[in-house]
Amino acid sequence: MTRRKEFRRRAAEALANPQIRENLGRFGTAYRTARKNALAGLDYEAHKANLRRMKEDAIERLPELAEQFTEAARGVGAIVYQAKTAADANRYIGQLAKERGVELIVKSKSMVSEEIGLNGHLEQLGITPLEADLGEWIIQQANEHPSHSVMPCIHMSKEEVAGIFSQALKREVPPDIGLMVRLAREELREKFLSAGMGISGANIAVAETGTVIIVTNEGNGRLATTVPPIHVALLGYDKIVPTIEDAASHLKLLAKTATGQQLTVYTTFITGKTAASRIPRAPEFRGPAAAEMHIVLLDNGRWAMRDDSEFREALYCIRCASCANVCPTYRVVGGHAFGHIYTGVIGTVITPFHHGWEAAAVPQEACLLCRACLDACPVQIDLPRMIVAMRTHIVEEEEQKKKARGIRRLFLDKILPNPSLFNLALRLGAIAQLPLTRGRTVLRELPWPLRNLTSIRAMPAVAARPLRSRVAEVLPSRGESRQTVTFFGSCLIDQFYPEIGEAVIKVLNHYGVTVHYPKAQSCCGLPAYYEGHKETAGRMAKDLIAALEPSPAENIVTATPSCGITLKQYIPKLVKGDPLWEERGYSLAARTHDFSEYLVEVLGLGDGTLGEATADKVPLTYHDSCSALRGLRVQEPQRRLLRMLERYDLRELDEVGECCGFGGHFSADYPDVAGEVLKRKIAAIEQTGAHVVALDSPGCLLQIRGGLLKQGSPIEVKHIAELLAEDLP
Amino acid sequence: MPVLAQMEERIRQTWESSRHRHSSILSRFVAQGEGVGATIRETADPQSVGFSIAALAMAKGIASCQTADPGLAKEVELHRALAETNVGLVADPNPDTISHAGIGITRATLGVAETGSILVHLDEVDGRLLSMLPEIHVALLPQDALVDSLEEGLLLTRYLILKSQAQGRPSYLSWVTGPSRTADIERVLTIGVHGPRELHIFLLPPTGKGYLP
Repeated sequence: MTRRKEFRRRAAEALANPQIRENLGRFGTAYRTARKNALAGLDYEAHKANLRRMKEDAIERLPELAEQFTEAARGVGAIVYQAKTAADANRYIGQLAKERGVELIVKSKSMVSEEIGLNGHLEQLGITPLEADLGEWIIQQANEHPSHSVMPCIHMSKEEVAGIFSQALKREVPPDIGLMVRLAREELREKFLSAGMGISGANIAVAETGTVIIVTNEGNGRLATTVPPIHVALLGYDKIVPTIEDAASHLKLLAKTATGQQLTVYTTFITGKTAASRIPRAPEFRGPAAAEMHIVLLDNGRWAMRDDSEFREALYCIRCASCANVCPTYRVVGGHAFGHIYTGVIGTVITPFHHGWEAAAVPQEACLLCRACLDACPVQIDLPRMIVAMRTHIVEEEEQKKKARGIRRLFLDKILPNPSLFNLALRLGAIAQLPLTRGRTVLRELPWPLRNLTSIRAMPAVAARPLRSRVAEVLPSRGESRQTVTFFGSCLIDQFYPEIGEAVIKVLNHYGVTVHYPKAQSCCGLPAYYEGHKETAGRMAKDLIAALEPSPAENIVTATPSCGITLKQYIPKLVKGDPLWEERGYSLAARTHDFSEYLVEVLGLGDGTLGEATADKVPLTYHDSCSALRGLRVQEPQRRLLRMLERYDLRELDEVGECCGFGGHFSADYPDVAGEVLKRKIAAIEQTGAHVVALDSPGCLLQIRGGLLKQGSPIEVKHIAELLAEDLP
Repeated sequence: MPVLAQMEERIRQTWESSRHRHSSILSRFVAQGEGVGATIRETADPQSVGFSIAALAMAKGIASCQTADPGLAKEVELHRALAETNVGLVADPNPDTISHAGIGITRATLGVAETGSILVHLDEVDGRLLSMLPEIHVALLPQDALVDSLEEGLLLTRYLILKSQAQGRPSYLSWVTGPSRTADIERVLTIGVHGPRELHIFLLPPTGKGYLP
């Protein structure tokens, strides 16, 4: 099965369970507030930078720190085992338990043990591993995997959990959360006293002292490392830091970003052999009398990650799961569809190293590239960049195996990069659609095989005449020309929304700007880049540089922020190292401006007023495109421009900055998932009472206007350029 | 040992600077600690602590108070306070008794105002278990053993661990920030899973001795 089909299958399974998106949706909203409150009054940026620096340094010095850690831990009676693979770690722990006669093991939460499949291995040896963290215990009883790295059973309802309790305890347990927690306490208390071994993970390991730091809320971590005589700490090399003081920013940010707490209830520092040797055990206890501590330091792909310049920063992760909590698609499909063993965005990015590319190919499909994760990450890990790197790798592998065929590849690699072919294809489309549009500019339903495009939203018809046929190459300013710019139109504006292009030109001309619109311009290559077709994207980058260079204008303006990112960020990367193109790529990037940013920052607009004041102002809301907000970091100029408009009253959206679910190919490939993201956005829009939605991206416009039209909503959606153009004197 | 000596100097400096801000650090500690669900009480004389613990035990219907720290029991006159009640006191707990303790009483080494945490340094298993297993954990802390920031708390934590390590001794320290809690089922906050349901911190009169043991 192809990765897309398989993701579609998993997503459909997740969507069939409304509990997942209800719980995650609700949590995501509460999480924002809790996190914001927890971080209030803290110099978050400074601690973020500190933490990043500390992790960079620790991973850089890992060989030396790992040695120091091992020696220090041995100095206080711990036995350190360095495991190369998952199998090595399993074998070591299994053998140890067997040799000591252990039959029952209690575990505090350890994602590494999930990574290596430890429970399955122990069960094969006839040893019972029992999860003691409440969420993990529930998951274990249900025979599932955690769907979230901090909250393992966030996808379940209390009724489901009560069912699991009833089965495990062999009695009827009502869905009363307080009662269930008490029952778990009693049930597990017994087990702690019967267990011969306790297994913990570690949040941090300290090289200087050989200390293992465990962060928990329930207290099971302290019990699992104290009550049974043998304590095994299982951790990856990536957890090692130089000293306890170096962990300050880590501890400061972990709980705040993970759960909105100031600090978790128990932060435990275990240095050496400290478990109990002489405590009364339950009659079922099997194990040694004397205390032992074993530390299993696991590689399982971590050293390879360290050596991979593209993925090294994934080792800086502190497992706060912020990237999952803010992810619009994770909030819809949960961690079973978006994840392998490790879930969410970081989980998917590290999967190739722990579980292979095969395992990572499907879950990475869930990414919309909205960048919300990058902004939420307390270690500033560039997850979107790594998702694109993964896609590039996957596509290259598919090419090699000749697995990549079909229309998609033809479109991305052959049609899109060829401006005349692309234009021709859309012109043919404009004719072919006539029986469907019958003169209208909106298509509510498309027939198979394009049905997916209209399942959640109406689609714009292909423009009867593209922008390139409607305007001249040089469009002189009104009055004296203050500036000259090159307009990069983008495919969406050119072929679907030429009226936005005309509005951009009208506004620029009005403010004394002469606009050059080079007709040789083509697609910027973003679709190819985002889908991992790097070679094609590289070719398109050069074509675009060459197409825009003849224009004499100093600045380049685009009203499509996603393409703006390509011009400003991806093209320089794509041509880097090519002596013929590198300089030209940088120059293109440096001269490119987003439309709103250009008006406000370069032309100095944003303070006056536009249009006629009316008695009743029209309520209007603004939707930030992910590309402008987090890609180009432009968010104020649009608001300043909108506040100039006398007719409107600007109201901010709830959950500002949340993606609309467009994601280019994503909404076409996975309309059901994108549709759920869109639903949230539409609900937020409706909540403001706005009659008009302003936005700055034709992609978001396609998605949001299409979604509102599909519902028959009267709310209008307009590009900011159109709103300005309408109210020019 | 230059590292330890350097740290001692930094700890002394922290003490000097904290002394002048003691009342603000204290109120921050109380606000933060209560914010995470701990009960914090300041006491003028240690003897009253014994009576407060006795009252707490009676109010909660607890049969057995236990501490693995006989010096502590004496300091707050627990024997006297509990003598007139039907609450039992185990001051030299037989390991067998610990799992029946209703209240476990331990010392805390340090309080961290920023997070409302107490540092519980219990290398001996009995005392440690008394801070983990009972429904109620009572921790006694001199009210000047408070640092303001998490960073200062970690400085002392590092120092204590290094100090033990220098003598080849393992160590077990926990920062305890409120009572045990979970939100694993439907994100509903529930207090008291595996650890104590209640955390009572009694602030004893200042010792004036500084942070260094």
